[in-house]
Parts: sequence; structure tokens; C-alpha cells
Amino acid sequence: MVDSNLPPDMPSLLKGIAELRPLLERNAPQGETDRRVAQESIDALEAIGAFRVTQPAKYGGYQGNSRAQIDVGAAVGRADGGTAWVVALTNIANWLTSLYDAQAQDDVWGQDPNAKVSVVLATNGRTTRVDGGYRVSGEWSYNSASWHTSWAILGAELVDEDGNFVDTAQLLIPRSELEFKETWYVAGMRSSGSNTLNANDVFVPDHRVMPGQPALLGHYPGANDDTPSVYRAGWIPVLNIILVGPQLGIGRAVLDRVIAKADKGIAYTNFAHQSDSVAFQLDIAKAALLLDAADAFAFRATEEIDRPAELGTYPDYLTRARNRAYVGWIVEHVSRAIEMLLTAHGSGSFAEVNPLQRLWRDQAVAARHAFVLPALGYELYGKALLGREDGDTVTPLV
Amino acid sequence: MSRHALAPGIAEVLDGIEEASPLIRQRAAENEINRHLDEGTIGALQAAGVFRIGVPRRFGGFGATTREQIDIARAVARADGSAGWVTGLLNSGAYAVGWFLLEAQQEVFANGPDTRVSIMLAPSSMAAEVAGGYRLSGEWRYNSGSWHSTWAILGAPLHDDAGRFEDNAIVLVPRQDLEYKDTWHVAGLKSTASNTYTAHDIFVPEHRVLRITPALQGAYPGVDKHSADVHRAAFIPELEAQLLGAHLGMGDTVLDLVRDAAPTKSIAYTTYMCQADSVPFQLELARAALLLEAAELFAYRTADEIDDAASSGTYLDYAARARQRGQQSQVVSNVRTAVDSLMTAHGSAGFAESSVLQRFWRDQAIAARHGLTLPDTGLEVYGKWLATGQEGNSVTPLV
Repeated sequence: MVDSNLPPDMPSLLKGIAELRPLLERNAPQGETDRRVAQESIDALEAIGAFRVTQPAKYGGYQGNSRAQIDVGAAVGRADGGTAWVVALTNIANWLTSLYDAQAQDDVWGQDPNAKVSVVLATNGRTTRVDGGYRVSGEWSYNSASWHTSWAILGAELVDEDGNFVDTAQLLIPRSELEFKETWYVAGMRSSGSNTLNANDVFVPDHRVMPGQPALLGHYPGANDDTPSVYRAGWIPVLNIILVGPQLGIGRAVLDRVIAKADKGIAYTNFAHQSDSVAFQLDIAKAALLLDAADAFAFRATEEIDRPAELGTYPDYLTRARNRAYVGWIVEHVSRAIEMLLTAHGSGSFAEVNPLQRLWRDQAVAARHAFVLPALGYELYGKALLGREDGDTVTPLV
Repeated sequence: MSRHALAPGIAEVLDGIEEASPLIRQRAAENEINRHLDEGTIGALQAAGVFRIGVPRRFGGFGATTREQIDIARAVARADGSAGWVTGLLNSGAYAVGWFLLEAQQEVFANGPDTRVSIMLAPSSMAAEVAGGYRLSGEWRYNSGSWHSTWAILGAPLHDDAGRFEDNAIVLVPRQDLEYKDTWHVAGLKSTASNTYTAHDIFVPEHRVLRITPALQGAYPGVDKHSADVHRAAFIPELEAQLLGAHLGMGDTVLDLVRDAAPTKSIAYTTYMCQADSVPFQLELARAALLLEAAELFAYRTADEIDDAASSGTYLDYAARARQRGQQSQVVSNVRTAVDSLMTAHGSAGFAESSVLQRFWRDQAIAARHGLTLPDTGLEVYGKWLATGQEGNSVTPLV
């Protein structure tokens, strides 16, 4: 059951986010200056359950699938990139949390159903095996939403009692046991607060350890006969596709703003209105089609993730490799659309007072997240299409 | 690269830019915060002779060709995009002074060939004829290099004493006649200080007025049979070409930095220990390099076409000028595409504030939206000519 204080379903949550758009837009410049999303925006989003999209219903969350995550990321992205990134990354970390042992989920949400989690998959943690768990040390950069979270999921390499490598894993650790360093000084997505966390010989009990190899095949520690289908979906495919949600929203925000200002003139031409220029009309059409194509691919990708989960099957390698390629393809479409739209709009796009330049920088940085880089997705898909089995030599994360 | 030998002195200027480059690179981050170039950078560029490139020889300048002007701005932009942009625009301004009547040229260069002149074509003003000249009021934004200039070239719609529109013009105004407003708060090219000038009913004598309609046909008040060939260049192609060097230089540096990092930089979430080993990376690098090489070919082809016509005393016909607008806009969009895909190939680290890549990426992105090189205008002018054989004056007379 969704918490009775929240909008009852996803459509009403999305409507609630749309109503918050003016507030989120208004707070966006401050968020960028502070390099942290304004607390007013976080509170308003929390009040309507925007951070509980993937939380299990038993804790009052929406128990949403990958489609729901994208819809929410895009809805917030129409207002502000940094805020959308914080929402999307929190929701994916909450989904990951829901794959852990029931005790781990209770650790996070038993007392505080609004608890938020961050995630960095990079296996930077070095462990030692101890009684009942592991001790871990390491440093992880890029913990998006770090200003607002009380737990972190962090990648590590597991070893046995003799120190031999066993598997990679994701460890769920309370923030109170981690050191925080402010390191996020980047040209865009400034308010995402993607700062650094440090662990110094922190104990992690076994129930908060999720081994990597089984997860890549859809075997999660928390799964049992009663597990809702959304927590059976493909691991990397979900982690990957949800990163496009904010970008789809940012693309629409740019298109909306450029169309809204199309009555302005074109420098060094006789066009008193951009909208009178056929060349401009073509730009708008092409950009809109690029964004439509991005949406369509995102729909197809989420269908290929959510449908097997509902049917209790796990997508095969080719499907998962294609999903990684879809993500790169979507990102390329959005990036091209935004570049075209800013050229069509002209140099005024880049005035610091114009939200367009912030949306542009935010999407540009999001587009370079290592997980969405097109080249890797295409290489994996190409190898799979050719029937080769050497994709794992490039990355096991498929 | 250059099919022409460099004129005497130009090679030394390029050497001087090379020597000044460590300083320019070192100051770039702080200049961005201050939103103008520091005196050290300007002084080093001046000492290298950069600001006298476009100045007529009779005033001690180099009277450089279009190609040489591109080379100079390109060399500076390799060190810093804003410094390269200011170089291109100030040389464009100093060069354009040579189109005005000799009396105006003598006034501007009275203090020597390093006099800096900003240039802004937009006629966002009103000029009313009076005895001996015009009275001018208006406001002009985006005067790149204005922080360091003592003269300004500004767009002005001329009206006769009966108030009838006569022609658009560019006029030469001493800085002290203008008010200066610090308005350049933009996401890139921050230290170009492309600020706002305001004029309140100032007098502009007739010898400092250059009418656009004759200029578009190659008739310049200051150019006669005694003038140097370089000042017979086609009006818009020349001014547009002077914007291109900075793009080429920024593209060079982004390619160099990304390529230099490739042997040692791993690819996150993959098993590639270095980018250089990844075939997808190799393809991206090759595509970007080819786009930049194509940009260079177009830039130098248009420059040579301008220079060859100028030195043979012919004026480029409309077909050639329309094609140039198309080609010059392609230089800019090629570099834009290349820079953007190189940033993807390099990865998220390029966006850290501590990385110079993100500054080049922002600087080139803003430069790419300069009104004169917007691809739609260039393509429509060229396409209208190709498709109909008609002049595209309905789009813009600036061809």
C-alpha cells in the first residue's frame, strides 16, 4: 500500500511533480550556486513521495518499475537537471536497496520510510572477511544526492578468509559510518552533490552484502516467492536505463523554452521572428523528432525490462546488450536535439540568466556518465549481434 | 599546412605566441573569473605583435592576409579560447579601419599600430544627419575585446536630415565618447568581456562613416588604387573568416588533450586499461580529427579565395560569396561536432572544473552561436542561390 499521505498512484504523483515545476525552476539557480538542491525543493518532492517510486509497498512506497522511474526522472527534469538527477539516483538506489535481504531493507526503512540511499557501483572497496561480515575500506567519488541520503550502496571486492578474491559486491552502509568529502566541482549538474564518501575499516554484516556475479544473472539476496516482480528485473538494464530519465525531461524543457521564445528575431538576418524562418522550422521539427525517437527507444527499453520481470523470466544476453546500446542511442539523440535547439535559439541561450545554458550543461555532464557512454553500448550490442561471446572481455556489466 | 609562404614577420609573431602560451594558459582560469583578459596576457600578445596583424603597413602593421589572420587567432586560441576570440575580433576591428577614409585611419593609428578596435555590426542605434556627419544614439551588446580597446566600430542605420532611412553603416567612435556597461555574464567565452557600449547623441564626422551597401559590392571609402591588396577583400566573407581561426585553435587543443590522455586513461566500468586500446575510441578520435581537418580545409579554402580575388583586383561574385557563407558556417559546425564528440570520448573527467577541457568546450560552444556564422543562415543563403539562382536578400543582405 502506498503511504496514505501520498498521491495514490503514479499518474497522480506525476501530476504532483508537474505542479511543483515552478518552485523547482525557481530554486534551480540557487541549487547551482550552493552545489546542492535547495532544501525547499527536496522537502516539496519528499512530501509527494517523489523519492519513494521504487520503495516496496510494505514500507509505503510505489513499488514502481523502470518505466515509473523514467517517468519521474523526466517529469522533474522538465524543471531542473540537478534536481532530477538527485531524484532519479535516489530512486535507483532505493530499488537496489529493495533487492537486499529483508533485514537490510528494515535497517534502512524500518524507522524512517523517507530514508534515502545513494549508490556508486565502482568496486573501489577493499575488504577483509571477518565473523558475520566484512570490514571495508575505500573511497568512492560521484555519490549523487549525497546531501540528502542517510545510507550508501558502495562497490567492493570481496575476499575469503585467506584474502583471495571471491566476487565483486555492493555493500549497504549507513552514512554515519562514512566520511564525507566535498569534491563535486563540475561544469554541470552542479546541484547533484555527487561528492565523495570514505570508509575506514567499516564493518558490514552479511545481510547488507549483495554479491555481483549472481546479481548480473538476476539472483538477488532478498528474493523469495513473495517478492514483487519489479525486484526481479534485470540488474544492469534497470541501473542503466533509468539514467536517461532526467535527460529526456531536460530535452523537453529545452524544446519547450525554444518554442516559447520563437517570436524573437534572428541576428544578422531580415527575419523579425525565428518562427518565420523555414530553416528554423526544420530545426524545431528535427529536434522534436530526435526527442520523440529518444522517448520511443526508452519505451521499448523499459518494455524489454519490465515485461520479463512480470513474466518471471530473465532477459537473455542479446537483449541486455541491446538495452545498453539503447541507452547510448537515446543519450545521443537528446544531446543532438539540445545542441540543435541552442543553435536555432542563438547566442542568447548562453546568458547566465537563461535557464537554457544550465539545462545544456546539466545534460552534457549527464551524457558523459560512464554508464551511458554510447561507444561501449554499441560495442557490446555489435559483438552480441555477431554471435560473439567476448562481450565480457570489455565489461561484465551487461 | 599553409600553401603560401608566410609573409615577413608573421612567423615571428607565431613564435611569439608560442612563447606567450604558457602564460596565457596559466592565466585562463583566473581571467574567466574576472571576465576579462589580464594585462599580462594582453601585454604578451601585444609584445608578440598580435594586435598589428590586420593594421595597414603604412601605419606599421603587417597588413596580413585573411589566411594569416586565421593562423594568428588559431595559434592564440590553442592556449585559450577567449584570448583567441579577442585576438580574432580585435584584428577584425583593426583591419576594418583600413576600409575607412584615410583621415579616419590616421586618427585611429595616431598612437601606433597596437591600437585596439572592437567591432560590432548590429545597427542597434539611430544616426541622424547633421552638418559634417551624424548624431548617434544607441546601445550595442557583445563588443568582444572592448575591455582593452580605445576605439569601437559600431553598426548604425543612417537617416538623412529629413529623417528618411538612407543606408546601414558602420561607424568609428573613440571609446571616450561611449558609456561602458559590464553586461557579459555568459556560460562561456567569459574573459572576452563582450560588454555593452551606449552612445547618447554623440557626433560622428562623415569620414568615420562606412556605408554598407557599397561595401557589400567592394567599394570602400578608404580603398583606392594606392591601397594594399588585402583591403580589397570581400566585406562579409572577410569579416566572417576572421571569426574562424579561434574555432580551429580550440579544436586543435581539444583533440590534442584527448589524444594525449588516451594512452594512460582507463575507461570506467570496462576492462579497457587505456582508451587508446579501444576500437570505439579510435573511431571517435578519427571522426573528430577528420571533422577538424575538413573545417580547416574549408577555412583556408575560403581565406585563399578571398585573398586571391583581392590580390587580382576582382571582387568575389554573389555565387562565390554565398558559397563562402555556407562553407564558413560549416567550419563552425564541424568544430562544434568534433569538440562535443571528443568530450564524450574522453569521458566525464573532462567536465571537472579543474579540467581545461570543459572551458574549451564551453568557449567553443558560445563562439559557435555567433550570429554571423549560424549554419541556418549560411545554408539558406547558399541553398537559395543553388536552387533558384537568386540572391538571398530576403534572408539577409550580408553576403
